[in-house]
Amino acid sequence: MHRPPLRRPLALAAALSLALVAGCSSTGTTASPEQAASGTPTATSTPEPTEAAASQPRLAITYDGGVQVLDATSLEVLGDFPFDGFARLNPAGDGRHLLVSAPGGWHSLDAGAWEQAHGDHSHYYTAEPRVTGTVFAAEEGGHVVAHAGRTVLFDDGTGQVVAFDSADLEDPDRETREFRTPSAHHGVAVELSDGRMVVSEGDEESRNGIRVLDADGNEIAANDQCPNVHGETVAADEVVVIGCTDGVLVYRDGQITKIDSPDEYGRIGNQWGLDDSPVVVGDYRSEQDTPADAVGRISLIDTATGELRLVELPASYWYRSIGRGEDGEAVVLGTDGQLHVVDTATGTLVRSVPVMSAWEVEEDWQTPQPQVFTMEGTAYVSDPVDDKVHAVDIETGEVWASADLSVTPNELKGVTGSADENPAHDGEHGHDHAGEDHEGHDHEGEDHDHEGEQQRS
Amino acid sequence: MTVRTTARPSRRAALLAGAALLAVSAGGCGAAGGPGGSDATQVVASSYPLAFVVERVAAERIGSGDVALENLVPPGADSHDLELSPQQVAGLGAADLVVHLGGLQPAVDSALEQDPPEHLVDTERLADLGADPHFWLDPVRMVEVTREVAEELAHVDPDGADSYASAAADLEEDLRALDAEYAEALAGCAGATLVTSHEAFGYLADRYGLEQLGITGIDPHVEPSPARLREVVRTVSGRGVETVFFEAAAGEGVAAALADDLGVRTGVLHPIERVGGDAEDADYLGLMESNLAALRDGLACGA
Repeated sequence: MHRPPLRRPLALAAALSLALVAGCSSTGTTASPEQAASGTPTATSTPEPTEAAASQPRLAITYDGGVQVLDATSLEVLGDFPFDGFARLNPAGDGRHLLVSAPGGWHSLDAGAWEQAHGDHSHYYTAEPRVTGTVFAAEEGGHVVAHAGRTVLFDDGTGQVVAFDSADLEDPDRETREFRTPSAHHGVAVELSDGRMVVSEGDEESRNGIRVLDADGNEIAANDQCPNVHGETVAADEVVVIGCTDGVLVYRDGQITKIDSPDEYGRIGNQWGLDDSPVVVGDYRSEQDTPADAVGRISLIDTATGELRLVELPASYWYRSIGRGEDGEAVVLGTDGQLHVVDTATGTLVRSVPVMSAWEVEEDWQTPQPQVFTMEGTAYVSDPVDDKVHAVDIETGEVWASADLSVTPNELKGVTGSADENPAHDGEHGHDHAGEDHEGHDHEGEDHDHEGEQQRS
Repeated sequence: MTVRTTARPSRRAALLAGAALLAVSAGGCGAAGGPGGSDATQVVASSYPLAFVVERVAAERIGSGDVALENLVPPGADSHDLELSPQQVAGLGAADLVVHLGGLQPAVDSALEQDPPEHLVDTERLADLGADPHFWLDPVRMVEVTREVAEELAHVDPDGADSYASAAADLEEDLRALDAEYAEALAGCAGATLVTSHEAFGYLADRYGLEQLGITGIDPHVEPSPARLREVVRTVSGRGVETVFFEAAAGEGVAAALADDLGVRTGVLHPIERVGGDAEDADYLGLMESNLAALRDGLACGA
């Protein structure tokens, strides 16, 4: 099914009048102290918002040379922004912005849809997407983890960790928590709602564990039995799961425990957790010398029981074609071009839906391959074979929209355009899961240039 | 009436107002000008429904040039997130009378606190149903506004006192008639579910015995994803709902999707918060009439 793009009139006159007012009242865009240097994308001025009757989710895709922003419902392209090098996308955690990893650091991209709460109801706005000019400088901007209303950046080039309230992303006076790991490495850090920080440990040669710091930065737990530590996710009750080449580390109730893979080499490098599910979905690979196992299997890690089991899929996949549905399902786009839906409670394959042409997992992780991003009950699939993007309803399997792209898509991410995408935990209970997309901390931690080395080692 | 200020104006609003005032004192933005001539009684209303009342009550004095009325919200613009120009901030402080709903617009609350006008009618006490500000959808509450505005106008412009009293009586009569019409038309609908995409109709529902049920995620102009449509189905099923009301006419795709999946029609209810945009010439009373027609047509009512 293909839908014609829906068009929204631009309030040009209103935008002009705003510009006039802004000149007098200093409400215009202010340059951030971390303003981008030359050679990085140019910030555009604040566009005039248009009110919408409901939240307007957005997608972003990378291609060789830039990033496009799409309406996640109509799949219409709303904006196109040049970026040098291999740009990476990370939802910033506020439901509105993405952080683009590119030369210079993380560049803030306003996807142009947001929510403002007014007492018992909310107002939703849209505006033209834009690069805001806010840049978090980094030597090698790596993982961005959004959890419990906080965003944590990890600079692989220096080991510098920067954490701040997701809502303060565009505030130049935001308060940040910063520290540096003992050695620079391809790492990751996640901050829990009480300020505890789980951070990977390693150097350029090897990465073998994690440390847990309290809110004051004191080490309160550590484990170094996690070869090639990679990827993190947070499950129900703020249980953190970290991937290793022989299992996972689980940080729960102040204790770190190891769950072993069934194979001696059984690599789990990327995990997908949900705030309301104890089960974490992980990728799985037991063959070291190929980019993907010939037989695709995913891992289901029950953080409540400590059980790890594998579910065999009808096809192989790669670690970025996985996502989670709103009812906890695992969705995996296989090399057979079908989206496989797995019930994570029973570990059974529920459905396989033809979405795109067959494809092959590439040796080079930077080569465009299909990616999956789940949001609000839909699995979005980027299709570099035919330069398309598809929207699949996870509950029914209906491919409810497909659109042609003018570029070959590589990365695919999105934001909900609503304030509850990454809510702060307000105490132990009362956490509202409704409509949450949970993708704030899926972040699909991939291995960058280390990946090939590990596979061949 | 005394000046009422919000207990805790937002930091952003305070900063904004501060910046605006600075800009004025620096003289960077030309002359600050209030509405109308300098001799006229300057009245500022901070949103459409309040401006409507002033317009009706002071119609004669506005016509003769003795009263100048400014609505802070431009026609069709958003009242919640109103940001004031320096001229508007200055105009608020210099106004003879400001008619306002405290708590709706932080920028206005903040400006009024920093530079209080001589006279202020604050209607905040009428918005007493939780956090919902849309009290004006209840004609009976609008009678209260009418009386207070007339009384305060007579204080600031005693020459017009008779005119205000007489116009206020007329408006009150119109509002009472509207109330009677609603009560009669909706008498058989008690307990009916009013499904709306914008929960702005709490005062109306409360007055006439309806149950307001909000749905989220459906924009009348955007054909919804299957997941969003399912959510609406789950919300409204089993309640005998015949119509889902939006603020604007639903596009064909949305209407068709709701009809197919839910078997419901779509209708339009105007929150009367922003009035006077493109091709909109009805006033408060006219819009209340069309809302009633939509309710009559769309609610599941007995007999």
